[in-house]
Amino acid sequence: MKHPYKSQGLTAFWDSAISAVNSLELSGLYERKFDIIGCKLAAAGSCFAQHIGQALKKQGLEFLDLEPAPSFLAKELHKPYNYGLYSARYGNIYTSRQLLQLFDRAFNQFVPKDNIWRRGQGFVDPFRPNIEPDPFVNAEELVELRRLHLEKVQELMRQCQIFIFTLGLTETWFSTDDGAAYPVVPGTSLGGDFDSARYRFHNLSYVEIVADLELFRQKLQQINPDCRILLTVSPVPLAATALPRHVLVSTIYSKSVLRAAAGWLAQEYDDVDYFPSYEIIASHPTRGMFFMPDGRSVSKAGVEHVMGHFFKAHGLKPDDGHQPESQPQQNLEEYEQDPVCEELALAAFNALKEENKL
Amino acid sequence: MREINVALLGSCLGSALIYLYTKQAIRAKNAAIRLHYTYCNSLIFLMPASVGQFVIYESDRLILKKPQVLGKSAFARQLRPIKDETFIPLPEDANNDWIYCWNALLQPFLSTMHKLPPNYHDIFQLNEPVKETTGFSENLIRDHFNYFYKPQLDILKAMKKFGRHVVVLEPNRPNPFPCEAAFYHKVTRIEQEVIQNELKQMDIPFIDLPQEMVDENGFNKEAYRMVKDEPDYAHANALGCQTIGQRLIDFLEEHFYFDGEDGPLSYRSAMKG
Repeated sequence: MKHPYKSQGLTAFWDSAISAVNSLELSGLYERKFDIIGCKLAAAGSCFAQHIGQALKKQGLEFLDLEPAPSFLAKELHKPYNYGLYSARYGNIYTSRQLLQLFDRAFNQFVPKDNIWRRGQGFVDPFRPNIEPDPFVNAEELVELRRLHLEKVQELMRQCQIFIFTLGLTETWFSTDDGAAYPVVPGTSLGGDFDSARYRFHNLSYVEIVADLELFRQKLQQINPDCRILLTVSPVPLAATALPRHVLVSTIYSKSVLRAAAGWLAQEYDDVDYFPSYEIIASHPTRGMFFMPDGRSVSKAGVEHVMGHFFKAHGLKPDDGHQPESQPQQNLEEYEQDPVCEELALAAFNALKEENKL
Repeated sequence: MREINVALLGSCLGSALIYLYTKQAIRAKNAAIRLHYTYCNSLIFLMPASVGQFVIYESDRLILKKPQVLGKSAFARQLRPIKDETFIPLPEDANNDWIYCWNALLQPFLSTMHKLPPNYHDIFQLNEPVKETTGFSENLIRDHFNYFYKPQLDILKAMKKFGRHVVVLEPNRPNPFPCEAAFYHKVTRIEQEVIQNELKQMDIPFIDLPQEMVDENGFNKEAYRMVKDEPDYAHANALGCQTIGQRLIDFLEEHFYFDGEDGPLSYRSAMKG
């Protein structure tokens, strides 16, 4: 009887797939489950997802943007106002719970009680506190603009054919009132006031993440039966952990849980795929070469490398001429270099930083 | 008595009217002011990208190039034919007694908002009204104006840097555009705040219609040209221009003076607001 490993290809063996290959020339890391060419793509997730969205746009694929920048607005103002980063202006969605609740909020299935935070004299949307550089001048404006935004999210969920979601964090903060999940703890420079009676920390488990994403998939299918989901895991480490342990330990735990959850979902459902951006950037064969000196930010070369694998699996070469003429290009470089990231607000609480020693 | 040379840099028919009424006011008051007028319609739709095409400032002079979009008004052409290039003298080739009055700095939000060709009349052919609920926050509109006005303000700054005195006249409000009244008023209010704040920081006086002539939204129906029985809010009419002309002369007389018989022209800061 033939041994099962006998029929395995070269990429199944570490020595031929990794040891004998330059780490920039690894191949066969991803095989697509479904085509993306010709499909309406939507992207959301943690800040690394901004890179994915920009790369898809640059490639000229049909990347949905339901809240484009107004035509009059100078290009320099697009990014500070979170235009063009994702398929709608929801900002970063770090956790599975946030994604699920975004869907529910868009379809009026969930109205969080604590839904306006103060920042200085102004007001911010707790679910996208960094959506504009300055707080809204009044609460009415915030509420009205959020209503319009959620209408667009609803439209997006109905229109997209592939929803790409990048899982970023397991550590999250909830409202003790109704379980509303926030992208960042209240009380940072982004707004809100921390109150341990009103907000609680929670580290989402594998079981919870799988349940969140299964429920999201189920709800999405109800309104958009043909939509498929492409999951990735952000290789960007945690900016800070709320647990009493080293941030590296928390990072590896979080990423492992997210990776396992995404893998299980992709294994379980034909309409869910997993793209290993996390492995390509963060695994040890690449020896951290795709990280910037801070060991956290992913370099432009890293993003290009990851997306090169992705596009190759879809029969595309990066920038191979799918670029439509109407696609604005001039500012993509800027987007690629420096993603908008609420999580970084946590770094300000570092004691060394507070003492100006960092 | 030495005369002050006042250059009125105009951008539309309103400037021509202001010129006429200011001239009348000078005569009536026997003021020591010599008024010069340069019609330059290109400035009506100055956008950040087009500034370089129309306005060039060199070390010793500011050049307003012939605009691509010419004023259609026979009245304006008769008053002062447009030249290929209009040179505005700066210190090295002029006496140091010039004041530049820049009319109609406020420019329509609409032209940038809808990427319209710089043709005023196209404004009225838009079908899709902009709603208050279109999704622009007050901050975004404010930042837009801050960005949008920068090139024009840079020109004013350059003039000041060259030692010129600058006064901004603004009888008009931004051109009307198809939108809900609430949104129009919001945009207009923000635009006024942005521009007046910038001018204040640059210590440049700003002369507009007096408060008693405007309603709570900054308008006075009687001061604007009527189109189809509605004030167009973009073009001051004779009353509006006469008022501005009078205010300009009063302001110049009150705040500008010669420091001694041979001394330079000086300005007593008396900022509006």
